[in-house]
Amino acid sequence: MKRFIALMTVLAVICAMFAACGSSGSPSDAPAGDSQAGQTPASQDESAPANRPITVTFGSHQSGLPVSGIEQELAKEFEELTGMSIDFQVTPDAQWRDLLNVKLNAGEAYDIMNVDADPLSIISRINPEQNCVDLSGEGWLSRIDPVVLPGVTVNDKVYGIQFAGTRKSMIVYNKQIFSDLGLAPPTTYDEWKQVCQAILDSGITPIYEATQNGWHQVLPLFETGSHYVTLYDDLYGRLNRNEMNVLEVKEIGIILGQMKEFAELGFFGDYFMSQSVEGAQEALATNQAAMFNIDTGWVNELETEFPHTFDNFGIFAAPWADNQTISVNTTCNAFFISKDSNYVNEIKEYFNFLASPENLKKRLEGDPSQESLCWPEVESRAKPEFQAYFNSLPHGMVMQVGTSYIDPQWMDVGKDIDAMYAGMMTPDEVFQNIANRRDEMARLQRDPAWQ
Amino acid sequence: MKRKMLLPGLTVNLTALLCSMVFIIPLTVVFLNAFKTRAESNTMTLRLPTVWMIENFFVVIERGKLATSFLNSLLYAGSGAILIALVVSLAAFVLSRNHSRLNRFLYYFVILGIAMPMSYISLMKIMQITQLLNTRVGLILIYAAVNIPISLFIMYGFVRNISVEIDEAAIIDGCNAFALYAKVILPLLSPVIVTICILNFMAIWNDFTMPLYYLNHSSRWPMTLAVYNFFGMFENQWNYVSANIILTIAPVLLVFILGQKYIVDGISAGAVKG
Amino acid sequence: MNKNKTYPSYLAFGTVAIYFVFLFLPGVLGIFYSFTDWNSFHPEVNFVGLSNYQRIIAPNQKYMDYISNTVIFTIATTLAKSALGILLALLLTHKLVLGKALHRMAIFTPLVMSYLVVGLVFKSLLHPATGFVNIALRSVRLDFLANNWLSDASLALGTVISVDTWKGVGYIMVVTIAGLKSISATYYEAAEIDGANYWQRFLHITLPLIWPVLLTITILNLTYGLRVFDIIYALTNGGPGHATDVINTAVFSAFSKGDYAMGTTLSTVLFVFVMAISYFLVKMMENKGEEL
Repeated sequence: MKRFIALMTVLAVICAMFAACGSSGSPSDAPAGDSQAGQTPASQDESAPANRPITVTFGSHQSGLPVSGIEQELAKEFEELTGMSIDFQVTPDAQWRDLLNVKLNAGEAYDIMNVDADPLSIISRINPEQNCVDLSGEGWLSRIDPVVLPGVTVNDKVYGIQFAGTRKSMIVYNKQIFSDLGLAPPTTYDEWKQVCQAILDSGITPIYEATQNGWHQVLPLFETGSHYVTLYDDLYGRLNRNEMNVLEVKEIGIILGQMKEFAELGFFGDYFMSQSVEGAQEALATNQAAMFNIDTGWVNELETEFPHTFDNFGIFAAPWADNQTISVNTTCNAFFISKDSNYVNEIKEYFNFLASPENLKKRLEGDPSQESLCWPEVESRAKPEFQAYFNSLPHGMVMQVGTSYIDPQWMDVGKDIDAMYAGMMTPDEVFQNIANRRDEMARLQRDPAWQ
Repeated sequence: MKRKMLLPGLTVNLTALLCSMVFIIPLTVVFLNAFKTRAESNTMTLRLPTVWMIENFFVVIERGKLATSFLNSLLYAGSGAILIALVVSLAAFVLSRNHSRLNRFLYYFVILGIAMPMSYISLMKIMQITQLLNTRVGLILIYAAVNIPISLFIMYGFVRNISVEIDEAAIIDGCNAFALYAKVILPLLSPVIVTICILNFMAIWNDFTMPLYYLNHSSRWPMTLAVYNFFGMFENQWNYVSANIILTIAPVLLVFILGQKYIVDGISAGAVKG
Repeated sequence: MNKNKTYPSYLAFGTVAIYFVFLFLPGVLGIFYSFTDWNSFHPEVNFVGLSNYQRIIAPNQKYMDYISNTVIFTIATTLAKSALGILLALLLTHKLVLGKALHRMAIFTPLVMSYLVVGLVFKSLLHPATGFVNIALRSVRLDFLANNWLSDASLALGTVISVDTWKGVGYIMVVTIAGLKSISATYYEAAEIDGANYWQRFLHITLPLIWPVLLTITILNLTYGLRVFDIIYALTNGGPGHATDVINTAVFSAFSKGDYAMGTTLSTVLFVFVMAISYFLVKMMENKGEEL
């Protein structure tokens, strides 16, 4: 007994010593010490020599950083150049927004924040005028694609830098399977159903669906926004001004019913409720499944990981509710600098470094999941075949970028769809909930259109 | 005689074996998986790896920042557990011996904390005011506060069952309050102190939300948080994830196996007399 | 003997101070916010009375389901852990069982694993296609038992309860074993002479003597169950749909939506629950204590 207590005490003392030595000696502790000094006027920043070993914190959610590790590689190169190291702090996706809110509220933000902002939610998510450094004077602004700027701009001031290009969510399909069964890419829901049935009859799962990540099952509803826009005049504007209820967009309800039908017909396979997006590559590369709904950049990733699939995958617009348009999402994660940071100039320097032509090129090459960057000078690597298909159909904005209170409830809708697949909710109830949550959020944010 | 015992003996032993298997198989599967190639590890079975991939572990140690975070966890859990045991044993000692109005109030006031909801944002404000945000000391104090109520509850019941006559004898021998506590009560409390230390050590070791909110520097992160990050990066590489899990629980498991006698005795003694 | 001199109250101040500053104060502030419209979108906070509480019981909300899931989880895990823990303890103190220490250690092992790890491990073990459980069931031709353990709405809560029991039962077992060992053998000998069988001895000697221990453990299990979050977050995150959502997962999602007032309101409801149950049990214990 006594020996046990003695053991515990010795252990604690040893690790306390370790911790003390570690923190007094390591340069990584510098910013923590400085953060208290941060309350004094920030003018001392200018005098800080750039080559002093400093550490800058970089807060991000897991899916905000490319899996390939290119972001960290670029940061390492910058560190070798200047001595400024970047401490990446990656938070699980599900906790990120909450955590960032708490930290911003407390004035304890990261030096660099990687935030998934869009024109509608930028203020509620990061409130740049209060929390971020104005980047309107930066030289790289003239080179970035202006189409992404609304997502990082408030009152004509630019606060963030973005790299990822626009994304188009499509149905990726296995050409070999289609041609073996004599099938052509469908253009209507009924055709699609027949195609799926034929594939299912041949013993292959028609569509790889994954609900474990929480977001993938929601794509059919809102990434067919370009289709809704063609059916209703000024749809997004009227929804945002609350002149129209989302329930009036009947196609959302129709698609929910179609999704349920596909699930019941077995088109998603037996285990889609246990599958995750990460498993899709293998399932499609090994012909276990024939189709998958995802950004086209994913095909590059697949071909890098499984070279034998090269050129074996084609794309078509998801024919939910007979959709024949392509929904484009211009928004993505952008980097913001915290106003309270002691190293604003150094970080601006870092952004310049990232925005240099050769590093932009490195970024695209180092991240197979990216088809293009939002920097026109870097050539897109979209396949000519895909490009030709894109050009053949009308484009429109995805619903969550154009309509308020859609993106913030994305994961809740995902859970409701799970409940629908599990038989606990009807498609109508799921639809009704989407409308209810919009009202609830508008009330919470005291949206003038809802008063 | 012997033949009569054979059948029940076989039955109970088989049942016991079956029960233990239920508890040990999940860990065994993970252990085997840690040595497999990525493709092999995709299905979770008890099949032995065709090639034993020791290098999985090196990859994990290098990429998972396990060394520093291990020391951090040890610091938080170790000092947290000891701090709680110290202050709570003092409190339990006076509160259960002297039933003054104030003491009764204090006891119930602290016990109320068993039910107290955690409020991250208000706590953040308090951490700022006290200048303890993003410090190791601050985190340890939070852990102490969260675990104090239930610890006091357990310790209080235990002290009450120690005979007061011992105290009276000590006072006659000229002990003051501190000496009485240190020389007489503390040794008698040792079993329950071990229990409380272990419970709190495990609770702190396994927590990952507090450091997420109250530490802004990954060099101070404990193991749970480092592990969580690792899972995010290697979600579909189960051989690495398995190796990471094994490395994470190995130290605690080792402490447990080595100190099994003390731990089990401590828990038992603490609980039974409490 | 002067009680105030021998047992000076200031010795308790360390405990009280830490608790007051880092738990009580923020907690009370949180409760206060449940009567406001506090959220992450507007800096000002207005008093709104009980309207947050009305939202909880509103018929179109799922909050009552979460509360009932919490209660089911709590009662089921508490009962299962106690019953299985006692059974295992009886089994492992049986005189014919060999290698008791090894068994005891095996059953205690899950306690040292973090919930995060338990969640991850079981998610993969219970995967319907590639997980160990279903593969094992199929290999012994029990295909009909191979289920979608975590994604079938009718099974998910049961699965989560089982995994939680798996993790926590070892503690109860160890404590009960100690309780059993501390009972003097003379009681049993006397009972045996009186002709009592195994179960009669258990009911009339063992159980009453380890009763106080069981009560302490029950309090621990109940307060844990009502506040459960980690294991559910790691295993199902409340899914499929809302089949395994409990109060604390709802608190978490209210906070992530920026609806801080709703988060604190749900926390406060939980607070009242836990307080009522703990009060009841603590009183019960004290009465027991005075009898002894």
